[in-house]
Amino acid sequence: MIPVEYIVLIAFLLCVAFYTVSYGIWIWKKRNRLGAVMIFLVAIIAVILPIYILIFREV
Amino acid sequence: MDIKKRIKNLLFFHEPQMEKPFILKEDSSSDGRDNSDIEKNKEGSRKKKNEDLLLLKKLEKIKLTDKKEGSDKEEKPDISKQLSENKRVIEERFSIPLNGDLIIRKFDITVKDSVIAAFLIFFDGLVDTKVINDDILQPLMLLSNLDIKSDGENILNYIRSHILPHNQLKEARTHQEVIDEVYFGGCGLYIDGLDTAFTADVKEFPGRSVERPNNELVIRGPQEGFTESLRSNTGLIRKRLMDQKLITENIIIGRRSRTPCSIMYVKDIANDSLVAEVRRRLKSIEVDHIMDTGELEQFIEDDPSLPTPQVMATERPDRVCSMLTEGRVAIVMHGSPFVLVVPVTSNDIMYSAEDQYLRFPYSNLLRIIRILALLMSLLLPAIFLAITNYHHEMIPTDLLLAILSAREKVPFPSVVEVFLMEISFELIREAGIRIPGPIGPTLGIIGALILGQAAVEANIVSPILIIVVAVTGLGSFAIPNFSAGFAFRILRFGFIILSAISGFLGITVGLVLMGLWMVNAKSFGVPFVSPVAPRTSGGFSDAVLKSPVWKQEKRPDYMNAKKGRKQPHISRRWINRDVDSNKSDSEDNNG
Repeated sequence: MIPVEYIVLIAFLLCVAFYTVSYGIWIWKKRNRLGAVMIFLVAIIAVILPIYILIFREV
Repeated sequence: MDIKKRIKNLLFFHEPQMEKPFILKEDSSSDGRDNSDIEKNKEGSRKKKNEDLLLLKKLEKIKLTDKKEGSDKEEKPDISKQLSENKRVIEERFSIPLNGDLIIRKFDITVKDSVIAAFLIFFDGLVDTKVINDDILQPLMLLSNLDIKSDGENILNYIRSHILPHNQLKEARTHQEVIDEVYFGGCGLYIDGLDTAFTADVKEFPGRSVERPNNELVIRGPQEGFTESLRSNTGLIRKRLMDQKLITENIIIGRRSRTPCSIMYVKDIANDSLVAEVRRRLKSIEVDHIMDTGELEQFIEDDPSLPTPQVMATERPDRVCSMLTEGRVAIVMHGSPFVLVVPVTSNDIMYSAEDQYLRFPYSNLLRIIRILALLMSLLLPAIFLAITNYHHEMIPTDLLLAILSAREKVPFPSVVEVFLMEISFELIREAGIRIPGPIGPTLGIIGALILGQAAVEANIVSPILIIVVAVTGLGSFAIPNFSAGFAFRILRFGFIILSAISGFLGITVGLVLMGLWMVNAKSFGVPFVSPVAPRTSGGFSDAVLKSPVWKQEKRPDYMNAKKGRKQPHISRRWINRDVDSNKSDSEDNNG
């Protein structure tokens, strides 16, 4: 069972990632493709890494 | 609906709506680099040419809009041929007879059988009355019965060419032009039947003479400082920089104060877009009164939230000249003994004028000491707090024990102790400045000594903290720029708070934030931390440490000056025995 505070934290992270992705799309439209790809990468890592550490990693 | 919009705003990125900030780019007519560099970059040159063309177009646009703005602001001729009408307007504009110090001198110019009425206006106290008597009134009143033709055009020409011997005689078509001249120590001459008035520069302002600069003292180098007179200041600059391309443009700022200002730059060095931007910013200021360049600085700076100054204010003409030769622009203002120079970088605010006059090992030593002083002024109390509160392992155990035993009887936490001492120090400094006469500094020192000693004996603060605060104070005095000293004093308190919260972690966070802030800042389109970040190419050799003067061949790359090189590769040509001293130096010149 995932604790409630973890769910809140993940929801916040998802919001941040969503905003970052929307920024990446704007950058993509401005023809900065490499920058956009890196921003998508950062957004994905910013969600996956904390989720992995919070939920799946055994201490 | 409103909530939906807010959520959407929070979740989606929106393109910033603000206007693009001014960025100083390479000038279209600049040589920029060495010839050899250009040859190497032949492939890139085509691309650069296209960019240059685009820039040129932009520049022309700026110039056009400037001209348009100028022409919009230009007033229509409003001087009447009726002398009584002109007198009425002048009396109305100057609130006569309420205004006591404006002199209106009526007189007649006798021409053959007829008499032409005229009047002269000037402010008592702003003009040299002897010049008015000898060069204006005497010729006009005594040289009567002259062969003057009856039509207005000829009277105007005749008076200008034959009667008035004054060296600075101008014709004005509007009352405002006359009024501006009169306020700036001139006099206005209205003649019946002419729709043009004459203005003559007869100023003699009450003011101090050229003295030593008070805040930028040097041991080696010129000892002259600016005064409050605009023309005296521009003269001091011209006296040193006898470059025929040195331009002085006049601008009036302030709807009511009508303060005359001058923009100075070297035409074939300064980037055109930089000059246009300075002109644009100054012309766009809408304010009633402006008294000093300190106010003007706040009107034209890029980022008001940045703690450090983004404009250099100096009272040394030699410093202004040296910066003008690098392609910067100076702003001189009537009534202010400080001249502004733009753009400025973080390095410039750490330099003293003396650096250029001392041999390079000496000035480099001074620069290193100044950097250390800056770090101490900014971080020493914060580091002290971090070490004593969080990171005991960083100092030798004996020293730690000494600090702790000294603090044993102090009842406050160390952060309170630090704040107490820092605030006391600032208080002594401020009081020392405000106390009149020579007592001020003495009282400051005595106050500090007595207060420090008493505070230690009363167990309010520990002795080691007195040392820390004293060294911090000394460090802040070693920063040559007055405004930058203020900036670091403010930031120091921020670092103390961060250090009290989380020790070195807080200091690091503070440094990162400060770094981001500085790196993001620009001064008239030039990144504030250049040439360090962004690192600029080229052999500019006066960045953090300086090379010998004969090796300082190039101008700062970030200035994007029209001419990148200021002296040839071998400036000390005497080292080559084959060089004939009579030979023209045009071959190797910077062009």
